[in-house]
Amino acid sequence: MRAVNEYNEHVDILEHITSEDYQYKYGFESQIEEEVVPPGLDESIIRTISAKKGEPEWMLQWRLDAFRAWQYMKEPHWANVRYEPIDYQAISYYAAPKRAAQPRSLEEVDPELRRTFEKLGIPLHEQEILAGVAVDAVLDSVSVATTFREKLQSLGIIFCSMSEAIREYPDLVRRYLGTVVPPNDNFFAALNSAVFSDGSFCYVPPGVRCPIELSTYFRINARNTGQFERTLIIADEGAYVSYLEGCTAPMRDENQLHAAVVELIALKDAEIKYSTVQNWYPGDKEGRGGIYNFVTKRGICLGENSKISWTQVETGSAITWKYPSVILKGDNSVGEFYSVAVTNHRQQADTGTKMTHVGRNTRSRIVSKGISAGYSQNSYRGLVRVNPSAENARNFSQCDSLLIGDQCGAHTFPYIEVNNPTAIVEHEATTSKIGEDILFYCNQRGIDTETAVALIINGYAREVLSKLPMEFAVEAQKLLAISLEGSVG
Amino acid sequence: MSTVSTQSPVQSPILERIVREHRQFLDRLNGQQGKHLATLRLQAMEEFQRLGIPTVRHEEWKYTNLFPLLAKNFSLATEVDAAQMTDTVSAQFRHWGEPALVVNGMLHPPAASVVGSLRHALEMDQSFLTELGKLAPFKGDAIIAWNTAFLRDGAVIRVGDGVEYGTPIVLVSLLDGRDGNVVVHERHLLQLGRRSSLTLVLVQRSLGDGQVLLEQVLEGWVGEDSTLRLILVQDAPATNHAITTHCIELERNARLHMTTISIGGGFIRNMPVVRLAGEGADAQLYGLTIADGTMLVDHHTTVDHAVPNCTSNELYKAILDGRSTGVFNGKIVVRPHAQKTSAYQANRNIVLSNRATINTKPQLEIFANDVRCTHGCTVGRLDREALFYLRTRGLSTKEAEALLLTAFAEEITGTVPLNVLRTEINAQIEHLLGADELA
Repeated sequence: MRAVNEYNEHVDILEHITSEDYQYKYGFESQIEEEVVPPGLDESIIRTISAKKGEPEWMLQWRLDAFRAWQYMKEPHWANVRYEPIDYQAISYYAAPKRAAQPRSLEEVDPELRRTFEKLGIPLHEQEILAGVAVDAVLDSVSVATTFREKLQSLGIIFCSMSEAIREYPDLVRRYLGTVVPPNDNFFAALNSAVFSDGSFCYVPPGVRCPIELSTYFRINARNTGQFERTLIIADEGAYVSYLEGCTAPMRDENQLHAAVVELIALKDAEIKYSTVQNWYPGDKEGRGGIYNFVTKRGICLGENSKISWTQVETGSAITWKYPSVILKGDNSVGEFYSVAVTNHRQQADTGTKMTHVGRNTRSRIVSKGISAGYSQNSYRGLVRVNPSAENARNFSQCDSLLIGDQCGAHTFPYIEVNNPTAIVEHEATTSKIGEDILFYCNQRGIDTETAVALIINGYAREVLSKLPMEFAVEAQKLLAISLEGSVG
Repeated sequence: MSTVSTQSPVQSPILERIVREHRQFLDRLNGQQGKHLATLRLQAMEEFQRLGIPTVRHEEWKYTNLFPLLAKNFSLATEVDAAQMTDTVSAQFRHWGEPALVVNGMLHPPAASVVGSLRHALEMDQSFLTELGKLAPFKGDAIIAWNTAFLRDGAVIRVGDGVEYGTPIVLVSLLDGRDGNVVVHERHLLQLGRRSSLTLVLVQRSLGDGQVLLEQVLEGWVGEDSTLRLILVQDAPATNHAITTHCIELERNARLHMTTISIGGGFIRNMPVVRLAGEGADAQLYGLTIADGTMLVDHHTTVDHAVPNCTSNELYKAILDGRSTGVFNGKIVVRPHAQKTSAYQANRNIVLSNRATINTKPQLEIFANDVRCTHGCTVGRLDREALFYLRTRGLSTKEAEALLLTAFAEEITGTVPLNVLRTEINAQIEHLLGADELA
């Protein structure tokens, strides 16, 4: 009984943390008072944000243009998700550096969260960082990060925060920012362009192969980048970079709405590999709280023989709404999309990809694996478009859905538009459930149902997981099992 | 009515024209057919105005733009004296089965048949009105609302319990385009009792050089253990356009076998909506598109698994040449608790020309877990290796292509359950694909 009470208490805490009042209350109680702007959005707020960040005039104008476009845009509602209307004037658009209500030690952290950490096998001091515990351990990671930065600098790779890039490398930023996702691309991208707080900037010079997997984890100011993140990655001719976003551990976050923009640019012979493991707070079992993740991610294969590959493992967020896309402009360029999206309880995910074939001999491959359990709704929405100019374009798409339980839904909306007779486009989709006979077989051999489900899920998602960088892949496997805990039997 | 102002300026003139014609249409009827029907027409018109003509911003009409079609200024077809025509036209279809002619929307029923006219049915029995719109409600659907607003006549086909109706019924829609462009609205009702069966062929013909648009809605109930074979033949010249909505509900162990052959016409949009409402029901849908020129063919299917243990299968194929456009949107819905559902869907397309376009969107919406649903879709050109193989056997490129395309098409034509009809369609297709010139 005590355990139940304790659990409820912690659920309450989490609920409290993710609620709007919380944000409001602590926004003002923050010690660094001048860093917080009042809720609401108008031109003066954008000027304030830009001024606080010490941005040049062109950046301010860029933001203002985006804001003006946003004012005329309507929030889209075509996605297969349902949520309460968002009050955009109730959000505080600049609260990045706040450090409110941090637990002082791991003892104070939600035991549910700690149990998950243990299952994932995360070292103690990393657990503290992830749970947002205010410890000196952060200093260690600073020193680690500095070591990496020196190494990258010697190769000429620029990897820094977006604000820093705007100050230090304005030419590069001006040249590429907004070229893949224009500020007026869609409602959430426009909002992001107007108010983005920070994010990552990466430039890999010609012919350089980035020796390590770049991750926000190694960037000093990576924590608390806020709800409107902006990422720009450029791989110059012949360069290669692999970028990791997110983290397998559950992320505690105070903001409910997340509208990030990610832009990837691959020049001639360049390759970008972008992997995401997203595990934000999905809300409680009844679907209260939880994060809305409305992200615009797009890459362009600008030069010949370039390649962009998106890999994502989505287990978190109350609502996920994202379509990492590739524009295959350069001849012989390649676009890939590998995704595992898991929804449990009341989660909703509407995710997929867009492959736009423009250049000749362009190839794309889509592998999407959806798993829905509980009362969740999981949709795949994809577009494969072959323009008249795309001679010999080739696409293969596979989207499979797995249903666990009879209250969830799995939906597929693949759009295929072909305007060139030389194109070969194939699409296939299946929907099925975990067979009772398979479970029985496992039980018979002494494997309990929970483990058996994990086993089956991992086999099902293997094709995608194998695309993840090594250390990520192992954690992602465990994460899948944890996300589906209690959904069978 | 105030909603008219919210329409975009582009569609206003067309919508205004339809509203005006509706008023004239009601005036002409002068209160005939009773008050209830009049109310229904007015309500439907109100709904049509509220919804407006669907634009490409509308998800269900994303790839099919109605406006270039409606810009042809169709006027509402009027009743024509068809007494002499009936025999000559009927004669053309007699070898298929039992022809029933619908001239400009008015049914001329053959003597002694299961086919009756909707107009008479409504005059005889007002309670019949309650049947209308049960499967095709006009709320939320602009096309059905448009049809209901102009509802006047059509066929009522009733097959009683235990009747296996052997002779196929051929419903010929004859549209009179001699005095300019006309639009015709047809509303058909079909009721099959228990353990009965029927074969129904729907075909469209026109008179004169005017552009004609057939807007047809059919509501069909297939009773327990009954079988409906439905064949839609769309092989008219390019001046013929069609928007069809066929809503069919299947009871326990009922079967639907539907084949749509779209090889002629200008603008074609077919919307079969099949509801599997009784356990053990089975629906088989086949479609073939062969398009050239500026032809547009849109197959927009919905298969709704409402109860457990039903099966459905769809196979749609298209060959697109010239500047034609092919659209396929296949929606499969599996309702909560519709366990043990098996639903298959495949869409195969061959694009022959640089300017032809194919847009395809298979769509699965699944709310039950114990189901097997798959869909597959391919777009490509003719298999180079198969062509090469035939070339090495001494066939010219043209012959080889014709052979491969005919074989591709025959998978669908083979599903036509009427031998005479199948042979005729195959001959037409061979001609279209240039295969009839082969030795």
